[in-house]
Amino acid sequence: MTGQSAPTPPLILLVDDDPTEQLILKRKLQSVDGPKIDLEYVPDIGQAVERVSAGGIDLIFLDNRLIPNNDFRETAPLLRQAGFVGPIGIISSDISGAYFREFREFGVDFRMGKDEIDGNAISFIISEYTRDQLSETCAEDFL
Amino acid sequence: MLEPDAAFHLGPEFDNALNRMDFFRLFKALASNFDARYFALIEVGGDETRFDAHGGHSLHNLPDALLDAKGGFSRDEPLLAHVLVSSAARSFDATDVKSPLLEQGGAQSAVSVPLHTVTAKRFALILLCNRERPDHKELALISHEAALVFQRYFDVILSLDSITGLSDREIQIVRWTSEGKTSAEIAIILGLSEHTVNSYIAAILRKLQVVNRAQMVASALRSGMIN
Amino acid sequence: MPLAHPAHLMFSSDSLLKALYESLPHAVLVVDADRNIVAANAAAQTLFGYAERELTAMRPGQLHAEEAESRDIGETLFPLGTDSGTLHRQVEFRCKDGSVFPAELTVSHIHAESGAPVGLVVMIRDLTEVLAAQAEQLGIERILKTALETISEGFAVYDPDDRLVLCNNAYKEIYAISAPAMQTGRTFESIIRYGLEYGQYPEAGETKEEREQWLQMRLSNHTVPSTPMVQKVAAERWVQVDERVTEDNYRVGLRTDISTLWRVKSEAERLGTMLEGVAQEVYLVNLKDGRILSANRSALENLQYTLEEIRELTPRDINADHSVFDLAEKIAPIIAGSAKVLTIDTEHMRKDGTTYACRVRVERLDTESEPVVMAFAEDITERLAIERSLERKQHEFETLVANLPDFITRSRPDTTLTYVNDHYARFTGLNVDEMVGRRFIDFTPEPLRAGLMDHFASLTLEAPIKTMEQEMVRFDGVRRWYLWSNLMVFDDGAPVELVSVGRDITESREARERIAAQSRELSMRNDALEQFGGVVSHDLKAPLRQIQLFADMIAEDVAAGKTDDLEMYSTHVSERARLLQRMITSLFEYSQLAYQAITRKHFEVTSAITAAWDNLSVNVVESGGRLKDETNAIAYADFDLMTQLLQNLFANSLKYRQDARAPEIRVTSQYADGIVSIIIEDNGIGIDPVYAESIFGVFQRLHRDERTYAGSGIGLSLCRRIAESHGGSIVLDREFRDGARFVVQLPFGRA
Repeated sequence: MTGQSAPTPPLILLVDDDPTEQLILKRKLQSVDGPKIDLEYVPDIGQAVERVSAGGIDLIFLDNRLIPNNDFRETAPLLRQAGFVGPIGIISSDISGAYFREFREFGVDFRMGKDEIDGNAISFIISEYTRDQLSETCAEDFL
Repeated sequence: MLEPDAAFHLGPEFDNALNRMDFFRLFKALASNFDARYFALIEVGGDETRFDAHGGHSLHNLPDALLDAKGGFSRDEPLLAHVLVSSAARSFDATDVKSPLLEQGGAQSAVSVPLHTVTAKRFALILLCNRERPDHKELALISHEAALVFQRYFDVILSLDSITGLSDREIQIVRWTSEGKTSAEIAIILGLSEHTVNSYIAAILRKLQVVNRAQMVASALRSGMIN
Repeated sequence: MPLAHPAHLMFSSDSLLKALYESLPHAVLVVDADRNIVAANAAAQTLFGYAERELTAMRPGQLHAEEAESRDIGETLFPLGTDSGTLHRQVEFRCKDGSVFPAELTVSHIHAESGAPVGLVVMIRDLTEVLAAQAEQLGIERILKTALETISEGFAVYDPDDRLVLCNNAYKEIYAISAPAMQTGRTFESIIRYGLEYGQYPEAGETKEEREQWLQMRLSNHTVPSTPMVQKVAAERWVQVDERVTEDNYRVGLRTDISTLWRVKSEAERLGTMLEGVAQEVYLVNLKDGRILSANRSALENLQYTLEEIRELTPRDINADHSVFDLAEKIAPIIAGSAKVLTIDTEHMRKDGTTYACRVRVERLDTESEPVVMAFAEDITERLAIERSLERKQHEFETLVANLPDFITRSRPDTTLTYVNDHYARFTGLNVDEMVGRRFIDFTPEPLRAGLMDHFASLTLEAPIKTMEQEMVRFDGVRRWYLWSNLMVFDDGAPVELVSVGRDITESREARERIAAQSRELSMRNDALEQFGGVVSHDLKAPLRQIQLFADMIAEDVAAGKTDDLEMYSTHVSERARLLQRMITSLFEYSQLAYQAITRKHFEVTSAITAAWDNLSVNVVESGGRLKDETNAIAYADFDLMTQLLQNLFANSLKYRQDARAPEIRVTSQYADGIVSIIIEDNGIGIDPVYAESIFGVFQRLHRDERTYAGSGIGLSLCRRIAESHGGSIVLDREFRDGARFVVQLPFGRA
């Protein structure tokens, strides 16, 4: 296991139709212990696809309900179609809908309530999804 | 409505938990329910001289500062050492125990819960609480809730060994691997993240009881899962 | 007359002798030594038919009928000897008329005083009558003896000293073991003892004492006979003993073989015991004489006879239904032995003359000797009543089946009909006779046949009945749904008959489909409601969470002494709070309107349009909007809700106006097929067809910048709710390009 030694800080893309969420998340990232994490914000899926295609995004926080789309089942696949293979997490005020169980079928890696997001949750996500990537040959310890 | 429900980790999300992230959320909710900002589920098997917080099935939200240089703990850490000598949960007061973890975590008290799987793997769940040391009643509650969530963790994540047969998605991934695709390529093909593809591969390796991708493909070919 | 010649006699005679000679009933001839008849008395003359002078001129040998006999006698007597005694023999003589008669001849010598024989006295007694009487006696005896031998009964006579006088062969045959002892002159007791010793009497007992006791009883019965008694003389042989004492103290015994009777009787008694408790009436009838031998208690009680009385009767006597001739004819096969069992329905007559219906089962029992008939009679009065009631029920059932609204068919497994009720026949437009014999699969539409046959084939012994719903076409083309219950009847594992009952379920099926449609819609509404709940939960949570977070941030910054962002944070808090308030107000309105009870009435659409427009007068003035009402329709709806719907649409049109243009709203109406359509179009900024559906969601906003659009996001959602609660709809016209156009459709009148 190697400690994080990435030359550039991880870059998170927040996709949310409420710009206030950017403000809030930025503030939460400041509270994460350890190295700096960069945040970019786009308000809709169209711009998100554009941004992803440009490259450099390590992790996406995708708001479940992006107007005018219904839910992540309509939006997450668009990001995958754009060739993004990094982790996508669905964030929402409410993740109790039964359809959330199918998230992996739509190319989503995890889901999380917006009220669950805090500094060390973000740390865990960074650690779990961007560090220690599985090597091509030695995967047996990984889940 | 704003705060997580008191029993969030035992509510609908308990049944909905599907991956490590979900269990991270459950354990975090469990911890915060007892005023613990930090929790750590650490595998304590073997006769190593230290505990590894990153390897195996460990799960924690400790800042790196609380871990040693290699991302683990000394074997002398009393919170972890406790589970090697006891099968019951115990709470510690910061003033009573010389624990680097407790001390550096800035917590008032800690709880150490011994856990084990039916396959005899041993774990410790450590909570670093910003409150006075939980009494026996609370300790019983913590042990019980920890056992429930841990059992669920075992059922969903750890017990893959006992599952036979691959899912459709797993067979797809074996097939693409057999055609020489990398995880990233497969992720694009299937519209998944590379991480998810790797998770599937890890699960497949465990199910097929092999240790690398070459063996995985060979085993799948032999058993006719792919051709 | 002979007295005239006594002087001729050379011996002295007295008057007595002479009288005897003349009056003797027997003929007397006197013959001299020279074989000349010298005298003949009157009887001789009468006997032979010759006069005395004719006789005296004859020699005695001339009177014999047989020459050899004459010579023999002559040689015996002559020449006369001194030692000659009296000759006594039976001979035959011939009379003057030639007739021959038997006679007893007695010849005595006449001696001179010197002792020398001088002549013979011949006495002749006519035996004709004696011999005839003797012959007659013998004939009678022979007949008696033959008669005794011919009777089948044993017969014996014992004299007063109890010695056997005579017995016939039947008697000896009956007592076959004792027969050697049956010799005339032997006593009764010695014969019995002989029999006892050799085992003639099985009933006498085994020990000596028992036998002696039996003997004494037998002897006392014999000495003083009373009533006839039955005696067992062999394993299967019984005799009836009748004994009488004659006036001269002879004992006459008669033995009748009653083995058959006795055996029948004993069998009858045995059977009788067994049959006594049987509920059926049982009779045993002797087939030979037709008499009833026995009857069980049931029979006696029902017929009201005693056993003794009924033994005097024959089956004819208790039979009230058949003539004697009929009965004889019926029973003939049994008597002839060609049938073993017969069943006859008849009536029996009780002693009091009343009758009852009964079924008689007659069975011939061929015993070793005589055949007997056992008859079981069952009083079938009740049974007949039950059968009549069953018949009545059957009739009622048939009437019922014929009148049932259900279809009822019976058919062979290949669906060849053997029965159809009228109702089904009427449905097909055929009559019953036309249908029977045809395969009903042929009445089934071709595409359904294979499935139907599979259905029948799936009926098994374990699950012989199944139901299926089938649409059927009446002869006049009307389609109806029927629920068929098909029952396959199996015999020995093989299907033999299919019984099908079809019930018209068209109405209930329609009702069911209506309910299904309703529950589908309900389920859709529930989904919508759930989505609504989720949306509300989500959208209300968001601003609340943000308010709290900003409050936390303000607190943190204040604690850290940072003041740069405080104003921005507090602005956010205020905005979020206002948004929250607006949403709550909207939700309240929505819940009030959306779930309000609908009060339908007829009104002109124009009146609702006017009311809605008036409510928006402030906005109208502010925006400079204009309304062109071109409707001419009547709606059947809740006036207030329709006004609300129109008002929401108008409000949108006024808000989403193009900057440069005053909003212009045009409303038209159409009516077709019971549906009233109200079309509302404006000249505003329009709506991208991509959002044609999502705009109707709760809190859906198309414009994030609330300074452009201060809507609550609930208006269109409410419009849809109102339209749907009227059984109608509201959609965005995706084709319309010059602004937004909504089409509201409402059913006119009750659906």
